[in-house]
Amino acid sequence: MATKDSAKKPKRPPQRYDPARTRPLTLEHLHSLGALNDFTPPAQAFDPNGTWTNTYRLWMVQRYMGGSLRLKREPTADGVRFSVDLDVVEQPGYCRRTRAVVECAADVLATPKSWTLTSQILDLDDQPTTGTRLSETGTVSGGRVEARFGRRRRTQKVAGPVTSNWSLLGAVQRLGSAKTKTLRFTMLEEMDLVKPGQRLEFREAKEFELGGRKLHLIGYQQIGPGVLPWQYWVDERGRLLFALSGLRALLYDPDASTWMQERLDKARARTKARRKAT
Amino acid sequence: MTRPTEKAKRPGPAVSRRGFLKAGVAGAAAAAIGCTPALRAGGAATARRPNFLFIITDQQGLDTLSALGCKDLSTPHLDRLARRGVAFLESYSANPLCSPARSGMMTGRPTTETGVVVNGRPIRSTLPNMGQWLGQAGYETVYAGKWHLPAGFAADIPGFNVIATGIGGQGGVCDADVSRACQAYLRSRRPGKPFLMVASFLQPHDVCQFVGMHQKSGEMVFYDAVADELPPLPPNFNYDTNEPEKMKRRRRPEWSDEQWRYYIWNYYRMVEMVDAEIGRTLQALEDSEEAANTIVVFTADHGEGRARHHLVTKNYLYDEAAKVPLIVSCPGRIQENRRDAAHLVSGLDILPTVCDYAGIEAPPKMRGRSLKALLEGKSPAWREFVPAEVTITGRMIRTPRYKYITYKGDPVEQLFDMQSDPGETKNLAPDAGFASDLKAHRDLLARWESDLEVAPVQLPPWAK
Repeated sequence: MATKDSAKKPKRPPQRYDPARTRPLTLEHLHSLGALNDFTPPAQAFDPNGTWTNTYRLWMVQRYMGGSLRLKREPTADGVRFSVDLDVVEQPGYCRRTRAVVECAADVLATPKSWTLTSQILDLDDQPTTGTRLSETGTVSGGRVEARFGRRRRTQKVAGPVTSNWSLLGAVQRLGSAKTKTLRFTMLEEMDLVKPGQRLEFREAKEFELGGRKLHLIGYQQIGPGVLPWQYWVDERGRLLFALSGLRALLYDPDASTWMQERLDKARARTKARRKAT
Repeated sequence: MTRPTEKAKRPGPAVSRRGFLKAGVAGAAAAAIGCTPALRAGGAATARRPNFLFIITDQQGLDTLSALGCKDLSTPHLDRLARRGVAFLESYSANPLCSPARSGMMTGRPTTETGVVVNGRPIRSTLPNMGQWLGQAGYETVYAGKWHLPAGFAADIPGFNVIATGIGGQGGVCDADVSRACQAYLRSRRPGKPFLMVASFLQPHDVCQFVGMHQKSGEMVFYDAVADELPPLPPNFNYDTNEPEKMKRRRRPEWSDEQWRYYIWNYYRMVEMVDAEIGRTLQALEDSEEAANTIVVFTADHGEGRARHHLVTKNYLYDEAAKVPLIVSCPGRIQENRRDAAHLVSGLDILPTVCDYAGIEAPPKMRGRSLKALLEGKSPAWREFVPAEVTITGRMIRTPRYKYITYKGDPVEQLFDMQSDPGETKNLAPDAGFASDLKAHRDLLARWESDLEVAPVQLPPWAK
C-alpha cells in the first residue's frame, strides 16, 4: 500500500471548466464556444471548379492547441493540382509541418494521380527533431498506390474509386446543392493510409446565423472505417467553410497561419519557461 | 555489476548534436540511479543485438482486434502483427490507468513501488526507466508520443531522445505526428547502434472526450446512416450490483441502448484510426534494413468499458479495463501466429523481456518476468497468479480460474469464476461455498504485497 498522511483532507480545487468538452461538436456548439467569433463570411466570388485557395484553422477540443491548413487548387492541362500546407502544433511546442502537391484527375472525386510530400517535426527552436525529415513521391494507378522514398518503393492495393482526404475537401465543393447520390470510395489519408469503404452523402441544408448574417449551408457527411464521421458545410457558392469530425474542426480563416503561429509561440514560450524554472 | 563493453562501430549518424547532448544528460541521470545494466553471461556482447519497436496505444482493450475475434471493426495492421507473433490472451495491465500503467511498463515495477498511483506523477527517482536502462547498455533510444510520467506530452523524457510529442486529448490529430516521426526515423536511420523506439499513440483514448461530450443523452449527434452498423450490447451489459462503493459512481444510466451502442461504434472507429497509424509505422520498419532484427512489442496501458457492466472508460479492475493486448513479434526468433491463453502475463513483464532479448540483466527487483521462453514455444514453470492495482486502494489477483478484487477499507469483495463466468457477472465472494477460494486469494494478495518496497507517494492534498 502506498503511504499517505492523515492530515485533514482539503477539498479538490475546482477543475478548469472547458465547455468544449461537455457537448458534442456541432456548428451551434462551436458558435456558443466563441470559436466562430472571428469568422467573417467571405464576400468574394468563388468558383469551385477554378483556381482558389482556402485556408482553415485546425481547431481542437483542447484550449491552446491548434494548427492550420492551406489548400490551393489549380486547373492543369490534364487535371487539377492541390497544394497543401499543413501545420499542427504539438503540446509542448513541437510542430508537424507537412507540404504536399497532389496531381489529380478532373473528376468528381479529384482522383489523385501522383504526389510529392515532405514532412518534418520541428522542435522548440523550430529545428527538425532527429531523423524526422521525410520526403516521398508517389503515384496512384491501376488499383495500386506506389510511394517512393530514397531508392525504395512501397506498393499498396486500392479498390474502386480513390480520393485523398485533401482532394476530398475540394470535391465536396463541387457536389452542388441537390441531394446528390452517395459517393463510395477509398480514401488515402495523407496519401499513404489506405481507408477503404468510405461514403459521402448529403446530410442536410440549413440556415446558420453568424455575425448578423444568415448563411445558407449545405452539409455532407463522410462515414467509413477508420474515420470518425466528418461533416462538411459549404456555402451557397460551394465554398467549404467548416468541416467537423470527432474532437476537431477546420474553420475557414484567411489568417489561419497567424492564428496557428501564435499558439505555437505560446506553447514554446511556456515550455521554455518551465525548462528554465527546473 | 559491470558496464557493457560493446561499442557501436559506427555511431548512429542521424543523431544530431542536440540529440546527443540530450542522450548524454539522460545517461548521466541513469548513472545517478546507482546501477547500470550488465551483459548476461553468454549474452549478446558479440552477437548483433536486436532492435525494439515498442508500440503503445491508449485505452485499447484486449479483444479489440479482428484477429482476436472482434467482428465490429477492422484492424488489418494489428492483425498482421498478430499473425507474425504471439498474442497473449490473459494479459493484464499492471494498473488500468494511464500514468500508473505506463510506470509499470517502463520500470517493471508495480505502481505501489513506482509511486505513480494516480495520473501525472513521476516515477520514483531511484528506478530506471526502459530508456535509461537500454541507453546505458548502448542502445539508441527514441520516443514519440504520449509519456504521462508526469507530463503527458513532454519534450524532455529521461533516457530518451524525443522526436515527437503529441497533443493531449487529440489522438485523432496527433497520432499522425507520431507515426510520421517514426516513419521518417526508421526510413532514414543508418545501421549502427541497436535502437529502442517507443511509438506511443493516443487513440483510442479520444473516447474519454466522446463520453464527456455526450453527457446529456438528448444532445448526442447521431448518424442515421450507421444505425444498421451499431455493434450489439455486450452480454455482460447487466451486472451484479453487489460491488464495492467505488464502482457505483461510474455508470451512464441516462443513455439509451442505442446510444450505448453508438458509443461503442465510435470507439471502434478510433481503434481503426490508430491501427492505420500503427500500419504506417510497421510498414516503415518493414521497408528498412532493420526489420529482421527488430522485436516488435505491442500493448496498451489499459482498456475501455465498452458498456460492459454498464461502464465507460477505465480505472477499475473488470476485464474490459484491466485486460490489454500484448503481442510480441519477430519472425525467426519468436513463434508466429500463436495465441497464448495458458499463461497469465502483465505489463510488468515487458521490461524483463526486452532486457532478456537485449542480452542484459534487467534492473534489480523486477516484479515481472521475461516472456522469452513463452515466446519461443518453451514451457517454463509459470506464475500461479497475476496481480494488478488501481488507484491507491484497489487490488486484483487473477489466478487461472478466479479473479479476486478488493478495495481496501471497502467491505465488499468480489470473486469471479473466470471459466464459467468470463463476463464477471456473478460475485461469488458472499457465497459460503467459495469461502476457501476467497481466503486463498486474500492470502495471495497479502503475500504479494508483503514483498513490495512501498514508494512514498506525494499526492495532491485533495487526493490523500
